[in-house]
Amino acid sequence: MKSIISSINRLRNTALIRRNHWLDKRIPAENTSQFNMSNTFIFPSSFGWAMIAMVLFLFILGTNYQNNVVLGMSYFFTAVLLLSLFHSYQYFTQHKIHFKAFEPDFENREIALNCELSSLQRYPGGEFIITAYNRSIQVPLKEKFKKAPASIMLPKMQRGYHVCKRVKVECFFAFGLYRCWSYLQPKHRILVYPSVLKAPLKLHQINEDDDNDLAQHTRLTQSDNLQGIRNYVETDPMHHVSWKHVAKGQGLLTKDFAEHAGLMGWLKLSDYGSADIEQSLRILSYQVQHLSQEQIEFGLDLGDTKILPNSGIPHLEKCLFQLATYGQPKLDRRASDAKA
Amino acid sequence: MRKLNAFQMRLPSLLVSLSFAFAVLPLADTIMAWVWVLFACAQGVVFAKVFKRVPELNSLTLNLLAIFCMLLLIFFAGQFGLLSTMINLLVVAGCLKLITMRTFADFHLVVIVLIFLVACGFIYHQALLYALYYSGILFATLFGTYLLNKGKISRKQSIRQASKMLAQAIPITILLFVMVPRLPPLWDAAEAKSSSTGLSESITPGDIANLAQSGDLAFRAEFSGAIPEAQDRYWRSIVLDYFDGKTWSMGDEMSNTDNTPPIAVSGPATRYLIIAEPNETRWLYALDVPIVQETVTDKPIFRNQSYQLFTQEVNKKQSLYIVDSYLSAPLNHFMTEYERQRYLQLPSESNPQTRAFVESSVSDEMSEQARLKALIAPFFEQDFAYTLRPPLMQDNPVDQFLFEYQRGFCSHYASALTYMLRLANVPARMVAGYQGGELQNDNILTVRQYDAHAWVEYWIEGSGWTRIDPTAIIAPNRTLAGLLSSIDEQDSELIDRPFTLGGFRDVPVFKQIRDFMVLIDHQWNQSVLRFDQDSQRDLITNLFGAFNAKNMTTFMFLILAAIALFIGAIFLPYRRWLGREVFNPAQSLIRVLEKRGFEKHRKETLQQFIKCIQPDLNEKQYAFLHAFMKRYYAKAYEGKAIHKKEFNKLLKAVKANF
Repeated sequence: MKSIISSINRLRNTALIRRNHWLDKRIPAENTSQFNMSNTFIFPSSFGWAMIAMVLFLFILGTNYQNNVVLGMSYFFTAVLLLSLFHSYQYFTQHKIHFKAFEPDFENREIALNCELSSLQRYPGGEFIITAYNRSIQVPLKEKFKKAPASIMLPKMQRGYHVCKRVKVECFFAFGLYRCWSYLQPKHRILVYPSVLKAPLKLHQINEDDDNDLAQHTRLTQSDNLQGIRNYVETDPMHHVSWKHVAKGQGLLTKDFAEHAGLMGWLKLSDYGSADIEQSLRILSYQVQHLSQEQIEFGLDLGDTKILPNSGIPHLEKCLFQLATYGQPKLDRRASDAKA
Repeated sequence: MRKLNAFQMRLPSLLVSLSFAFAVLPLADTIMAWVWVLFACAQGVVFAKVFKRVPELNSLTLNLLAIFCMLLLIFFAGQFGLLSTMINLLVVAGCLKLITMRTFADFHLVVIVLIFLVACGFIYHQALLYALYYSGILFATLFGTYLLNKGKISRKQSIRQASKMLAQAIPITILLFVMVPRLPPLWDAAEAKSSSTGLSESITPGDIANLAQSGDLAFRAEFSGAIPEAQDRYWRSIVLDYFDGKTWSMGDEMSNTDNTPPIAVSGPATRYLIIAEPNETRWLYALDVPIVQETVTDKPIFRNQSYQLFTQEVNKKQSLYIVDSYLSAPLNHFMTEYERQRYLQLPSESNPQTRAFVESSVSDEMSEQARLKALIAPFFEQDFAYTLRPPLMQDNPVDQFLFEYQRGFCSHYASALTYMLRLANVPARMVAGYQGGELQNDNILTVRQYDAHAWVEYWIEGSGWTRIDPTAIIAPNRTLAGLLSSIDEQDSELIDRPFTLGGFRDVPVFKQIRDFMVLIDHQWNQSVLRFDQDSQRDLITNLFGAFNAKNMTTFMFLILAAIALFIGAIFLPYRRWLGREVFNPAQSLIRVLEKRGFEKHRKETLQQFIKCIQPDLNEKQYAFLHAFMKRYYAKAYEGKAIHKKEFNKLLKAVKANF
């Protein structure tokens, strides 16, 4: 029994792969697609098949009872089926869909697939169903519109730079007799950063030798410039409390250091061991963001890829991108496409 | 499985459940009592769902209900026929689905059931009003299915859209209706239980349990003088002379076209024109004694020795003819021994009680008149009744009728009396035709199918055939004032009156309306309900001159081409093609931009459009577009003469820059 199920699954998988292969050739990835002859499929829906059976049944009934009115009914539904075929197709192909770029996000967060439907307005209204990653939304269209936005929350994904799976766009206009659909693939890719994991900071100062890094780290955090004195906050470390002021009876005050200001250093993947590379990447993801927030210049050393020390949002994004794609096959210059 | 949300469902489910209710109503007779209960519940549930939030029924309860219903159906199936069990099954299925309507599939199932029900309804009722009624139901249903996919548009807009699409289907329907060849029944369909009047060439009184009376027009008569009294208006059509104990039928020699014997007539003549509707037989109508003066249509009309008028072929079309009738002339002609034997023919060994009764009440020395008097005495003395719902009488029908039930309609009485007369050695025959008719005005009379009647003629030596109408003894009103006055209320349900407007019958306006409606109904009957293989053949013959395989194929191809043309006219973008020939700078610009992925909304002006896409353009592109637009507006609205070349140059620049 098990073997049968597994073989059925295997068959289904090969069929799916075949289908996707065929689709890749027939409907290449595109961010904006006008529905037309080359990317639209049309077939009777289950209701459509029921109606076809109905037409045959009415024909037989009408013939047997020699009843012209029943025959007329049969012809009427034939006409409706025939016209509906064209109406469905024309309705569908008057639309255009535009996929927007994905906002990069972290693992265990849902990413939204945003798209926009626009129409040439021969038929007003109607309803589309958009399915991506087995999640569907209905997009009812208005009488007068230029663009109807739609958004589907995709399931959580692992870190990486993913190709978006094919998105099914379908409609059952006008009487639900036909299903008009298309499988589209957005060119945009989905960038998923490693999620964050808090851990102590390990920063190598530039020009420092590797063997001294621990000492360096300690020194680094302690030799900060004193900027001034401010009121104590519960989260402040005890060793920052200005005991002189306490002794003078002026209450708890904290020495305010310009933390890490004007410093730069390297973050190294090798510092976090190689037992669980995902874990290490998450730690780095945290630290990269943390350092960037503190506006410290830092470089990222992932072994085979190095990013020179810098600061600012573009630098952060570059680092996060490298963390997201660490260990995955090298990508072409699409990286910039994703942000464009 | 697409789920329906409550908002989407409201109007469509209301529409479909109402349509369902209206579709069930005409079938009320066939629906079992408990199904009505379920039906009411389903309607209640739908209404509650539409107007209030109601928790869904749990599926176990529903499944149990469904099983219970199926058991009930099976239990009762024996008592009801196959067709009515099927109708009940459909109604039950529809009701259960109405209760649980949650997905699109549920909704569509109800729609399919509804269409089935409408088709079943059409088997029972085909009159124009019913057709309109059911069309309304079908429209509401299809509109409901349209609403499911309508998106966010107003109701008005969606009605307009749906009606447009459905209206487009009508011409195709008509073309298909005319084109598709009519096939004979694929297998024997179950006959509907009642028979309708109208004339046929054989009559079996005992077999018909319900005589449904049709209000269809049989013929009109226009008199040049005064119209004869109601009791004299016996329109002869068919003479039946052979009896096998159950069925009366006519001998072959009746329709011999060789000899229309000249007859001697005397007395004043009544002249009238008859416009007879097609009747699927060869027999026509006239008052006694008829002499055809003129036939307006080109087919010849013959008369045989029983004074019947007939044509060579079945009357597929209206027949017009002028007749002189000599109402007071006796129906006598010489009777040969052979004919005498024919009119005395009797089935052997049947209806023994009647035989015994005739033997005991008639003696040899009595005259024909005296014998008749003795034989019809029971009709006066006993409790006979006239009804359109007589019981079935299948073994020895005359015995059963005379001695057991004593209930029947005209053919029961005529059949019994003819049979008794023959037993009493008086030549006799049964005549079928119409009696009476309704006065339209001073000289026009309309005769409908429900005026069909049967009476008796017997031979008196010396004075010839004499008419005796036994029904007139039981229900004198039948002959004096027509059928409607002689039946009870229950029976009157059976009569399919043509648009009677109750108490308004005598108001002239209503009479005119009624006549108009009758005319439309008649057209519906002729052009739709009776359209068959022969009509198709006639149509092809009219169009091409002859009916053969080649013309038939041409005809079908022409119709298919017409359908294709019609669809093309709706869907092909011919406006764009035609528009291409006139130079319109704005159109060319828009087309260029469209190719580059900037789509103009239909209701945008060029200026709005360019402003809308401005953020996506660089300065140079925008500058060119702007210049183009300025010039276009200058040409179009300020009337400046700007040459085509200039636009083309600019267009080129736009193309180069995008």
